[in-house]
Amino acid sequence: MAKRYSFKLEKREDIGVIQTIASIAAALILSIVIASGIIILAGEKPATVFIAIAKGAFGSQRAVVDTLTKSTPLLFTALATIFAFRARVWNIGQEGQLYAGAMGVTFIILNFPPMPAAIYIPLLLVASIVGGALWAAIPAILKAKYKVNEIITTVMLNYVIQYFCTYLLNGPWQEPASHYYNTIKFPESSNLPTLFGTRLHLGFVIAILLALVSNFVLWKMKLGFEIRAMGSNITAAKYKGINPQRITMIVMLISGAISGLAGGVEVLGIHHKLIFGFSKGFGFTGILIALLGRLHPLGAILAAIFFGALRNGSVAMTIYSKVSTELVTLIMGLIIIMLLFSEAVFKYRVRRVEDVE
Amino acid sequence: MWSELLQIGFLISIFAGAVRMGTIILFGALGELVAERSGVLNLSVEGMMLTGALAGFLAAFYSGSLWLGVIAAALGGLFISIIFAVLAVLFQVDQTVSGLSVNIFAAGLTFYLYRTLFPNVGTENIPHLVPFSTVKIPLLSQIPFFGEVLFSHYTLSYIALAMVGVISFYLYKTKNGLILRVMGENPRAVDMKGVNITLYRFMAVMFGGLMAGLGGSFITLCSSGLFVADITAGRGWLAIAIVIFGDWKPGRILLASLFFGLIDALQMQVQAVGVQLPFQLFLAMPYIFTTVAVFLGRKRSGEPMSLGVPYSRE
Repeated sequence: MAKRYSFKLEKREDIGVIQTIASIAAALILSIVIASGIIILAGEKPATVFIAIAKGAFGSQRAVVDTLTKSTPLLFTALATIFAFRARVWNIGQEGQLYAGAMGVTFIILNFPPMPAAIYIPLLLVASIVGGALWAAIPAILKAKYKVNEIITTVMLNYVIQYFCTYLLNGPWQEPASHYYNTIKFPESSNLPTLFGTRLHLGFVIAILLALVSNFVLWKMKLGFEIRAMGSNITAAKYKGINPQRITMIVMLISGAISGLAGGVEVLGIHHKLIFGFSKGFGFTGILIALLGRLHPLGAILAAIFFGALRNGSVAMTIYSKVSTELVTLIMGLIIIMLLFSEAVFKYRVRRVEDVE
Repeated sequence: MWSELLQIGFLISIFAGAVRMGTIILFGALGELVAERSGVLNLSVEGMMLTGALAGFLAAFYSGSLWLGVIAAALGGLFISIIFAVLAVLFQVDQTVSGLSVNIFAAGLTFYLYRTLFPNVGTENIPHLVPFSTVKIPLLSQIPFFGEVLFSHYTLSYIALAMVGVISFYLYKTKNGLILRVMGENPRAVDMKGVNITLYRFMAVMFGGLMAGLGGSFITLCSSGLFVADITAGRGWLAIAIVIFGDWKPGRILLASLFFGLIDALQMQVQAVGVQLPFQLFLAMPYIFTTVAVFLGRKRSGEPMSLGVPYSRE
């Protein structure tokens, strides 16, 4: 009797490395196709625009340096996201915690006399870490102790601290006789050292090192195991003796600390003063990068440089075409949506099954 | 200062403002309520409202018809909600991750569209239109005090208030609404009765999109008559918080919306009177109150048991 077959769609147990890479590739290709459509609608040639972005991002030594500089805060906020999301603790407060970090730095600089760089810079970086962690402590305690939804509190606190920062920059912290929302210029000894005589500053090195450390913590240390265990199955984690409240506190504080450092590094490395609006959505972009990097610190390095390149290249793009810089913001959003789609599709596979008569 | 604050005219403008500001959030919250009652946590309310706000503005700006704008806003919200529903309901991607991603996509989309259509806009030449004017309900609006507080509003406000009744009726008095509520608690039970859960949840999310879009249109077509980036300023998140604070019940959600509308209105009016406090403090007030509200709402019992959990038969 001839066997009869039919095809069945079934869900994979786990998505492998090949599927992961394939889904990221598919997401990028789909995004490029859709972005091309959008560029054509805007009356430009896609090739012109993409080449302009690539040249602007990697076309010269200066371009590469700028790309890496722009990717620095993004890598920090992405790492901050990874720690929280790995435990399925949804910290969306990176933007606010980043502000808190920058404000911690500013507080020390404005209230204490300048010091030699060897003491000053480490002290200020610690101030940014403390600032970010303190601001994250509010939603952390609310979540760990009172089970208050952290998504809403972190989003709300983002607004609160930005208004508080505006108040300070429009009041006690404002540069005397200035009409702009910014502080005085920070003392020279607070500036982060630059690398190879370029604009690239120490913050980039710290970010890369932190990614390696994060990787070690998450996959080689007990804490990392506990974080991941809680994220994959909270009930099973409890049976293994993991205390979810403790892990929630820890990941929120780590996340806040790293976001704070992002803010500290940005003001000490680039602006050398606190300016209103110094963060161009670094917190939210960090979330995208973490997701694109599959919540993996090493993946986040690649994703951060990629997004840094897009942002940097968008400046050149506006010179060579009439497409607005916001195109890259749209492309970033597109990529993540396409990634979620293609990942979902790759989770299914078609199997040929023998019919049972 | 106090004499000014206690004048009747001031009180009227505060309470009328509470209804006006409250309805913006009410639209989003009622839509989210229906989605959450079906078991779907849609965190993209902010993105749906923002897209609705822009779609409404553009349609009204180019066509000259405000009502066409309202329809476009609802469709804009619907568009974003469909993206979310395909991801979270159809493909069962993690609902939190889907919601956050869709929000960021919507922000990028609206920024880009606005910048592309109005490339040379600075701070002074922002394109604007003549917004809706309020509709005084005959006779009722003549009642002293209450007439101005309750019966002199935009048509959209009346629609939002009416929707509270419509949704209450749907959830508690129709068979369809019963199925939806059970689905949020125990999807297996309705699945065994042969109900298509995916379809129900998809529709519930789409309804949320329409409502959030309408809420967005309120901002551009009733209040301001213009669009700027991030004009929703967290009101979508506020709507989600209000669903929690309102214990997933339409009546309480209405009260919670009015309360937050009151804070918003108070914030603006007190600023206008010139109270000697930094204005940033007033601007931050709704966000501080929301944080407090979700804290106070932490023990609410109305949360659907299966909220945020994708349903699969295995």
